Amino acid sequence: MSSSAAPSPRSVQLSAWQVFRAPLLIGLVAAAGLSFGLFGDGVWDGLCWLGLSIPILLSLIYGARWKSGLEPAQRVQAEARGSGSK
Amino acid sequence: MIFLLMLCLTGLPLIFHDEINHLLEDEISAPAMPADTPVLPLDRLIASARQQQPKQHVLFVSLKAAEPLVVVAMSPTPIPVPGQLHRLTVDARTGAILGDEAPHQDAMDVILRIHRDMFTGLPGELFLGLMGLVFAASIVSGVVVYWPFMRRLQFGTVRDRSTRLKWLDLHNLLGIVTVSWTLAVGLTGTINTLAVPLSDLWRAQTMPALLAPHQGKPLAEAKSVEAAVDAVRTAYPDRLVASVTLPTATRFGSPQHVIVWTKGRTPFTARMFSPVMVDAQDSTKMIAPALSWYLRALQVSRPLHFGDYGGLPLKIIWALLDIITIIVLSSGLYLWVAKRRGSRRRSSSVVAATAATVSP
Repeated sequence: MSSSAAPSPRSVQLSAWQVFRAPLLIGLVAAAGLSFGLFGDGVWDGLCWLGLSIPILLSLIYGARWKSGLEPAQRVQAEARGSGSK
Repeated sequence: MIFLLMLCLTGLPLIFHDEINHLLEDEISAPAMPADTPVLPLDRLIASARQQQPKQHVLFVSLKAAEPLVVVAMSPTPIPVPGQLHRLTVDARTGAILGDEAPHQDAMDVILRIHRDMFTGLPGELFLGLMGLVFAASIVSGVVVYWPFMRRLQFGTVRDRSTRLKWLDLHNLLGIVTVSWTLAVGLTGTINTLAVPLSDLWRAQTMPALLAPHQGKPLAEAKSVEAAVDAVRTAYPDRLVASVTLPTATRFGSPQHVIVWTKGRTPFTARMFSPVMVDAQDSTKMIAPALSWYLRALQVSRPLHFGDYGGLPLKIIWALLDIITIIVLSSGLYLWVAKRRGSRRRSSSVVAATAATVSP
């Protein structure tokens, strides 16, 4: 798999902090969401839903950029077929 | 990997098992009566269940919090066979039997058994617990290799130069944004698989001291369940009585005590069940053994694994995160296969080339 991450000469290397700050923030928000729901009902539940929706929303937003109208499942099949013939 | 996919797939319907069961089965509800109708003593309700099933042994009684209903669990054998419980729903105000649910296994039970132990009992359960640990380890290793992969990419980049690259980026993206949830569900799942050994450990640590004064006595008959429950309610006014286990030789009860299971009143403490052991013969003698930290951990793990602590919206969130995890797992599988095939092709390119000339 290392070949797929082959460095492109023009791009700059990011530090661990630069790579992980976004995931870390998302992880903390989601973890907070997970635990808020345990504290109580009402507002706490709302915060819980909000915190845990972030990963889903981000998956949809970034995933949608790449999806070209095909559902992931269909895409897998299409690509499985494609890669088989390559 | 296959086991993890199986767990994710069977887990999906289990998130909604309450809703699905409500749809499939008629919910037994208490007939309308004035709100202040007094309830009968528990002993009277148990007697009513015994009358209905005279040959069966009463194991435990659960008190419904929302409705004046009591569920009496009975078994044809003194030591119950898993899946052989007979549940009688009794109206707490009249003692009328509203439902007599014979042991049966519906589709959801089958899915649950596959998810929990693949029909192999404790060994299967522990094996899947190990799979949970493997899952956690693979998440951690995934986070570690995230850095070299993403060193030259902005967060959220999905390149589409090749199919494999697309899936690699998507695998990284979906994997990294869901880390908190997958780790939480994976690890709490593993803790849940330890339920049986952990409660056995606790019993081994707690019970001998409690049973020492009763050594040599036969299985006690509860003098009055109502008196035991009343005593617990008076001693712990801030707690709700959830269920009562009658004296039994099984591993979840005590041969000499009525165990009154209490829970708190807030969403969190309502999941923290604490036993109060009341002497079967004398309800003034009660002991509330402290639950060990590992049983507390087990109790906290349950909601965090099931996702049943934030209403239907949380269940939907749970299901979506589960679906994302399925995508991450299958893309991981795809990438692994693609990589292996790729490297094999490279190493055996000569063979492949000759083969290609033979077969079109």
